[in-house]
Amino acid sequence: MNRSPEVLKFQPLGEFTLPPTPADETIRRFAENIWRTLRREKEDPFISDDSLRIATTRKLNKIVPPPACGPLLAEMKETFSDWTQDAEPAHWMQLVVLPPCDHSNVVRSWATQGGHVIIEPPDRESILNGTADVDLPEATGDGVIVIPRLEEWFIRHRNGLKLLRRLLDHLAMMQRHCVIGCNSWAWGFFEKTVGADLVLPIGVTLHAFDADRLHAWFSHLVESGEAEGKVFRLNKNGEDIFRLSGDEGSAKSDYLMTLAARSLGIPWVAWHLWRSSLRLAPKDNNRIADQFPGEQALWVAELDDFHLPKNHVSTALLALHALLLHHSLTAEELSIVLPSVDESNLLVALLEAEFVERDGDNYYCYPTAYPTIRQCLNDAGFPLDRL
Amino acid sequence: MQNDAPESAIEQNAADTATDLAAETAKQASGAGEEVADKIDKPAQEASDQAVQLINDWQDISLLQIAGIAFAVWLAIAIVRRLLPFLAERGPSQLRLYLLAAVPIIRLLLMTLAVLWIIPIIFNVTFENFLVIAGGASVAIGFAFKDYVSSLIAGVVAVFERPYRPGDWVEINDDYGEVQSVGLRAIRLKTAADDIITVPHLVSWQGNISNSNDGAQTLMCIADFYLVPDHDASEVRGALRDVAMTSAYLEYDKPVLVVMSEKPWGTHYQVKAYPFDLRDQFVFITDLSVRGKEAIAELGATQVTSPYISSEKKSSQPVVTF
Repeated sequence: MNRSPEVLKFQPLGEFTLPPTPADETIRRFAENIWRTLRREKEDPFISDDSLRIATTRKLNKIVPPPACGPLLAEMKETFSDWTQDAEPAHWMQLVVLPPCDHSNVVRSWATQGGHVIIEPPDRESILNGTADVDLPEATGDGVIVIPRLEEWFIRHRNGLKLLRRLLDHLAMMQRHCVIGCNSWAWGFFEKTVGADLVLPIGVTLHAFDADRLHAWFSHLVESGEAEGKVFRLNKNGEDIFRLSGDEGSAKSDYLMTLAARSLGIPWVAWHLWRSSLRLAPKDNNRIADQFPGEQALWVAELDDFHLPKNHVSTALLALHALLLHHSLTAEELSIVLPSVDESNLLVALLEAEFVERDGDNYYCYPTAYPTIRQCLNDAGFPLDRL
Repeated sequence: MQNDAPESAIEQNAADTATDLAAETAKQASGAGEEVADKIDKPAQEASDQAVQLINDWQDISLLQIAGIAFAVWLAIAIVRRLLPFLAERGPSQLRLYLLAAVPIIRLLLMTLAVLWIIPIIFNVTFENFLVIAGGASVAIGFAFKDYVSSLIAGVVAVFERPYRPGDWVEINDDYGEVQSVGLRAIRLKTAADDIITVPHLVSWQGNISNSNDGAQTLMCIADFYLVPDHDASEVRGALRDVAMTSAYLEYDKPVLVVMSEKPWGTHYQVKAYPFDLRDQFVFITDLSVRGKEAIAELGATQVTSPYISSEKKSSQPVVTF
């Protein structure tokens, strides 16, 4: 549990490798749908999920404190530290392509920590109306300028690409350090629609978070939070998820391997999934007291599966795809970018199913649902992101 | 003289003995010849009898076995015809066309297996019988079932040549629709108006078949716009391209084209693009048309319309159309 985390540099776009899924998890998920209909009695877990208590967000923040981006800030700093100091770099621009649902806003956080100039996008209404009067940065000068989310500079509408084209034209003339962040779904769209790959250099992206990286990160989080000294046990068999195998020093529990595969190697998805599966122990449980005397344990329930509303799958997927492209949209903006006109209650259903979350007027894809969303979009034939 | 008499008796006896021996020898030789002739004629006779017997003895034909084979094959085909389309509609879209296309191939293999299994049970399979059956069948087919058998053969050819597969969108004799199933004799098309059209395989011998996707996951969709020539063509072209680029149904890996041509009555624009799922083709074209009309109106261009003539005027005035 006390291994010093290694600080990696970002890797070129296209080299992202998904963590492997344990064979038994693959078989389990394949057979589960069939077996679920036939099985009448559930397996007897060490302690049932019903008897455990769900922790409040406040409590979770103490046990597993944010941010959800883990060591990425340090990795980004390591990646660009030499480049930012270089007065005449080979490339004036750097593109950072990250997976979606990044609510911790890694690029912005890095820019803020480094004291760089952040270029804010105009609101989408003015982008659409063509009234966006944007003060683009000077083409020459000192210091690093940062555009944290390129996807906030457009809206998928016939009039929503003009500002982005203008911005890219301007960036092509820049003779100063510039870092551009973009989510992977939007980047695929920009390559197609505005030829962004012709202007911007080959991007860099994170290394996938496999079981070992998750182990190192979560162990560090636990040690720094209120849960220090507590043991995290699976409710199905009482196994300690942070226990290391003796020989190789790697994570012994399959849970973290499963979590890494389920989260597609994306740290904030893994972080949210882990938090959502944490449970507090019931009071006065004799079995726990007998089995683990004098121990303070937090219980880890099985990872939830998500299912789209059956009757509106195609329209739901169109909405979720649009949200992934834009990172966030208001209900009005969503109705502009979608072709359907008769699905007024769709967002409510997606909110209830926890596919979408709301912050003020803006709707986002929920990180825990992202793997399911991506799988559904893939099954439906949507063009996918590429890391 | 007394000595001459015994000599002649001896000679007489010798002559008789020789005659008997010759007769015995001839008799033996004749018997041996008959045996040889019998040995030679028996297999030919048996073969001749077998050739005449086309069908096995009724006692040897197991009707229960035939019924069992037929039922098993029918059941297997029925399961395949329902299960694979079911999986195709609910599974990943990438597998859909492969699963649908497998149905006629599996059915053909199963039916071939059943026929090869049943024929030896019913018929006495020899080369002579084959010629007899083929001759009889040729006459029957030539007079009565020519088109039917031609369709069957065309169906078998279609399985391998694949001018259409289940899931493809084809146009045959002005009927455009999705191939729902490829049967033994005919295919079933489902049109956009939800009509089911049965087209015999025979048409593949005689007419053209236009296949829009040819087994691919997507197909080109075209949205047409007809404008009054007095407009900024460059702006309209750019706007229509962005209309296609921002469609929610667009397949990124395929090109988007805006084609323009001048006609005597106006300017014809065609927006050509691909949806990510061919089943979305009509909503995709609708989406392009709706947003394309908005873009054209926003740019101040005017769409050409055919002049509307009310029914009262129709009788009195000549109608000018193009």
